[in-house]
Amino acid sequence: MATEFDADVIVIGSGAIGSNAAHLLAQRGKSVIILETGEWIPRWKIVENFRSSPRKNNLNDPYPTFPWAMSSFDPDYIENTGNFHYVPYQLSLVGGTTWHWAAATWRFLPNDMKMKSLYGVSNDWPMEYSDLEPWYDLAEYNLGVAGSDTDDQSGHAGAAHPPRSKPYPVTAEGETYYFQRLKDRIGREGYNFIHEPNGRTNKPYDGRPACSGNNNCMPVCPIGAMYSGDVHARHAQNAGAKIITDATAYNLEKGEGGKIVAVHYRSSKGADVRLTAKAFIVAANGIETPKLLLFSDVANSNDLVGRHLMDHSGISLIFTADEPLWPGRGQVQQGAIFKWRDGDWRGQHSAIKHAPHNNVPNRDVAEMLIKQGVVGPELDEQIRHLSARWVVIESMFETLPRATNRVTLSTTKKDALGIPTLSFNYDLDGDEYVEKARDLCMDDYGNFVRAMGGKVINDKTGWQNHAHVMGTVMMGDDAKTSVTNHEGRTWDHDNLFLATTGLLPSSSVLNPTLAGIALGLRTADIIAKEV
Amino acid sequence: MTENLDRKGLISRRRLIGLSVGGVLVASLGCLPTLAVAQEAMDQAGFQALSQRLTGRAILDKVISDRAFAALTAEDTGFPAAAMRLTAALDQAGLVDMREFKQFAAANPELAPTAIKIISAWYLGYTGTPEGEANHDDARFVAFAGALMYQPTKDVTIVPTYARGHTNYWVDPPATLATD
Repeated sequence: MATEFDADVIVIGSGAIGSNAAHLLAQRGKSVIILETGEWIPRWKIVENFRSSPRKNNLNDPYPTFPWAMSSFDPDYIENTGNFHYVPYQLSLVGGTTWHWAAATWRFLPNDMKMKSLYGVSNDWPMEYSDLEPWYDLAEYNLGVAGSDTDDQSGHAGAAHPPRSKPYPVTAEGETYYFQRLKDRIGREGYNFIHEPNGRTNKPYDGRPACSGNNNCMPVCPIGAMYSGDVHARHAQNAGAKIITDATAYNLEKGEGGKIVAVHYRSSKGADVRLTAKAFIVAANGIETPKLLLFSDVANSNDLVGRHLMDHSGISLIFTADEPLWPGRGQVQQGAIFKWRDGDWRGQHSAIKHAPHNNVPNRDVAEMLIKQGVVGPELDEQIRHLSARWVVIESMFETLPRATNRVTLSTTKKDALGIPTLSFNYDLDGDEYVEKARDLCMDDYGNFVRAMGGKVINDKTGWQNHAHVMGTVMMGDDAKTSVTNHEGRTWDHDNLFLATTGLLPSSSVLNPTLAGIALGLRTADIIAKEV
Repeated sequence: MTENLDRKGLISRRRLIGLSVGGVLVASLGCLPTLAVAQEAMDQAGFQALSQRLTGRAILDKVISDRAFAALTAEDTGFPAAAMRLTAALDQAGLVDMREFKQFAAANPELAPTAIKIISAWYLGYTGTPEGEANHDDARFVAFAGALMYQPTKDVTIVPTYARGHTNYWVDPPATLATD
């Protein structure tokens, strides 16, 4: 008698990566169940939460946190043992963390995937750029990515790069006046300004409206012009996938022959459910994915799950320019400044991506002035004067995979479902690779300020979190040194697949979500042929 | 012109405050035990008037005012009394123009932080210290679109989530560029 399953494929996690993978599988006629810890939450509620919150600079604040689905901003959920306080920013609701991601959708360069063989550091990916290219295409068309078909994204001001088989689905939005002025003056100093490909469509696309400049990509786009994972959660559902919310997966049950036979989930009411499938995809974010594997004691025969945590740790600069630039008109970010993007020096120090931020700066400006005791008419005058000239540059560095930078299960705390909370050890101290880059970054900051006739407000931020989680379940071509192969298939269980930015074995300086979605689509395509 | 109107408004409100305080005194004469309480208590109307004076605004939204008063009081039960002392000191100093606040603050160092707290609540739209990466703090919501920090730039930039432009409007600089 043929074995009966609850579904062909169960996808754990309804974020952008899981939902895109589930949608592809459902389109191919597979029966798919998506398990989601959180709930469906309508956009308007999140927008109202934001508007009525006193902590506008807190990206998780408008989103729910529950004793059974805690936000990473809950001190009871995260403990840190390293010198750096790591916080992964993940969200638990249908659509996942792309609700507040700002939608930077760069492709990794071919060289980013060959760090070991070209530069002798980090890892090579277990695939060529050309293997992923068609899936980057599909991911970009799913998200409605706006981009420039002519920019050299390697920062060398050459021909369009990296190679692409299709043009971007949406043309790049117009450059903000702020960006134009920075580009004109800082660009003369030998810095390349590149348009940032982004999932903030500027024309109607797949039921989403064009961006009208609400300037609130993080923590929530009020009109859904910016892509978030709930778009494909809906598409997956419409294609036949079943989404079960309030369903926290806590155990992957092992069967004969190294197969995973079932996933167990628990609801907030305490009900336990066991579901079987031919294949399982864990797409639960770069932090929650290793957590589930560790708690289930699967895919970890080489003790690599949760290790090699990489982020684009960075620093930032705030200064005022000598002319009105008026940041805050348009989207919150638009492009990157590249000098240290790719080159032979990558064996010695991190690549750097500088990103000018374009937030309405009034809060930062007013907080500073009031702290200085400025009041009365002068306060209003200074708010206008400084807001017009306020420049924020955020810089991200490539970090290397270190086995000691890791996420593990807490040995002392559990959530309301009885599942251990998270413990991090993340440390950059004494890491010459990033410290050398920090020195170069400070040189760049000096050049930026000088080029803009500026006055520094703050250039001593210390290391900052960017919540670009990579490396925690890294893929590779050797079962001894990686958790999955190039398909996202775990070495230990041939029907257990991972779809997360945690697969990335090197970090480059690019926001990793698009790569995660492309890898997830590629994995779904492989599974669709097997089940 | 606007400034003159504002200042005129401030003065007339100050007279009103004086009258209302006097009214309380008269009404309380026959009831001495409550006199001390009446003198020290700051009510919503008094807070709004004090706020108008400190922010230089002739008109302030009452709903926001009541919320700011409640938030500052929740944060510090001593706030209403401090605000009352601040009002009295401002009256005594005859301060109507906030350009002279620095001298007032130097002469009244124990009351200046209360004034800054009130101004901060109105401009920033919150009280307390919001945490960027944690859920728990002492921050309280006061206002968003009505936060005064957005007024000086309202012709040029938006209050986030309240877009007024169309796609790509941001390509052009604002019309006021030459005088900014």
